[in-house]
Amino acid sequence: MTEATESPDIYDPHASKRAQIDQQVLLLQQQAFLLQQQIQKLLVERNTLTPISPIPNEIISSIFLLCRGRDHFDKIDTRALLPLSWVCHRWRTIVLSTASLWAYIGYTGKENLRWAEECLTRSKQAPLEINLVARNPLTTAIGVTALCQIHRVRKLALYSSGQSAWNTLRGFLARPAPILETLTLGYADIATPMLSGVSPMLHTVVLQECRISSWNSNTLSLGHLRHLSLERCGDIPVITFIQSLPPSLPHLETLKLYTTLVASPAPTPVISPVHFPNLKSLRLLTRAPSPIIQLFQLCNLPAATELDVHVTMNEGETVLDLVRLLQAPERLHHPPNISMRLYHAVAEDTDGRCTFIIKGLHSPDDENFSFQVIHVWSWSDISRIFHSLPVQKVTTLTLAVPGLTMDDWTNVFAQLIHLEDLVLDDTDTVLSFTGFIVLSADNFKLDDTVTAADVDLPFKSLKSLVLSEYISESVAIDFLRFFTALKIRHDCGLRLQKLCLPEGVFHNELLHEIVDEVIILSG
Amino acid sequence: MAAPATQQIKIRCNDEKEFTVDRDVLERSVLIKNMLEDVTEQQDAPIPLPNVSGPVMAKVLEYCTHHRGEPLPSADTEQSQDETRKRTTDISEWDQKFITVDQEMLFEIILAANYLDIKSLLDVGCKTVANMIKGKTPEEIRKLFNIVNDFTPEEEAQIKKENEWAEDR
Repeated sequence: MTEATESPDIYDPHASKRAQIDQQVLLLQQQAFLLQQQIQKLLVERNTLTPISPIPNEIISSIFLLCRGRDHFDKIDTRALLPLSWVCHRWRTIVLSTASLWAYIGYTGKENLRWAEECLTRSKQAPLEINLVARNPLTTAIGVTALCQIHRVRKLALYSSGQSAWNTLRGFLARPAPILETLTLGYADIATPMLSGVSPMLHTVVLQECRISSWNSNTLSLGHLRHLSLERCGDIPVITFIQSLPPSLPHLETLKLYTTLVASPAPTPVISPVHFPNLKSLRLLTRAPSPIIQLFQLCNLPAATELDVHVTMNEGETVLDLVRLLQAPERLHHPPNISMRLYHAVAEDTDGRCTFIIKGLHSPDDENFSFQVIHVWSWSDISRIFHSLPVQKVTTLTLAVPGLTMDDWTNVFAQLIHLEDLVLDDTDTVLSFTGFIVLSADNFKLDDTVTAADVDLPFKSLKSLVLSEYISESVAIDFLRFFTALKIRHDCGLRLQKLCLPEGVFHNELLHEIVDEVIILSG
Repeated sequence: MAAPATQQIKIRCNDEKEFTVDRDVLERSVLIKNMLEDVTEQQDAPIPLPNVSGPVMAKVLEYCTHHRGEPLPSADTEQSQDETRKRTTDISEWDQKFITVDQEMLFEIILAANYLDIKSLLDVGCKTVANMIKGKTPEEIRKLFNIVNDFTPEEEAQIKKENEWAEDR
């Protein structure tokens, strides 16, 4: 039998021609491939000649790290890395090989489960950050995928509004987290010990609106904690929580207790106070003043601690009552010279709020008692407070109070003989103040040579004035008259050190006659 | 009593350009600070800086002079500052004006800051580049930095696939 290849012309007359063409195509393809390779090489070489090319890879990755950005909710958008990896061969290699760029799992509304898995793969074994609101099957699935890696999670913020999502995720939090540094849980149901007590690096814990049915010293290892925040966790009274803490938290620097339920349901047994030898800041928000005493009985604080106390007073109670309660030395474990910033609200359903800084927990009758009114939002409050406190000791005052009258300025504020810093933080307040200045200034001329004793006006000690509105030329002249009359002038040694004004159409040079520094606030 | 005179140090760049600068200004550079600490005797010979040119060094010195006296990041604070740096690309007004230069100079400053170990200047440089890149498409970035698409066909295929699954919901 004869083979077909021996007589191609008979059975396939074009076979030879085809083979020839195939040969040519193959050759050209090889040439094209080589040319393509050459082009590729040239393009790569060209990219090494751009101004950015000498920048080392590790600096380029730092730049890429910055490109991921963070939004208002502290979330990172890892998808911002995609366009960077599509620029050129070098950038792609850097993006794909820098594990830390991918070590973030979150949900900004664009990610899918595949994306989370890809991030976990690309992040290799780099310490992870998870910031996730588990509110639907997708985000819960992303949470499960990410929390499988809890052994390498450094920062975890987990918010779970649904019970089923939380039931799915809570098991992962029972596992050890040896490198976890920061833990934030929101709306979580905390009933069992977390992280198996193995979280030696944990320094920050934030619990927001969590359901805490039982909390004891085994719930979470807090020994190395530097920052602890318990916010609106309604089920656990703060007192019970404090009682569950170890006898001393030597590293704790900030303690934030924002809660509605302060008192323990049963009378608090007499126990040793918890020591916070390095505490720098204690912020407390509560509805009533008396439980604060209970809390302070349990906390042994150093003198340097800054106390921020937000309190809604009971009907009939004033800030004075609270100060009197706090200054009783037998009740407290901290030094009497501790400073307290007190945010005082008359009632929860009113807008009336005032902020004080109380310098030292002296009795208001004590000559060492002093305080600053930092912010006043409601006139009824300030008048009430001014009638119950030695207001002549006020050195700083911020007002955002609509409806002030001439009488208020001349009579009530005239009592503030030591007032040095005045901030008027609201259009109405600035207008009523300038109205008062204009009317008062009518009594003075620029060349008046009155002595300080001749005039009986408030603000004699004023050194700094900040206005949220700019003033007109005519008002500036009235300011000049007014402050001249007060002898706040350079040649008399009395002079306003600082005047802050927002940007406006007019800033009169005359102001420099009475002010050392006129600061224009932009925006 | 008169204040003690600040020690003046001479440096020489790779283009032979020399600068005589107050020691505290130069010590913003950890590299130079370490060099000076290693030298016990007063030396008149300029410190050679083979990786920096005169014009770039002039810019670096402008930055160091403006920020002289500010605390240098210590090892303790470095980690927390790193964390902060990662969060924000905000640049102060003066630094922003200072770094408004052409691209060549910007990258030269970054390289010099890296070589001289001036962390805060390196940060300003990196943030500036990040701000230039953020929100741009690959094509816009290529145009910005005069880069060409040099992907292999395999990489192109990979990118296409990547684009597809990244868009899946």
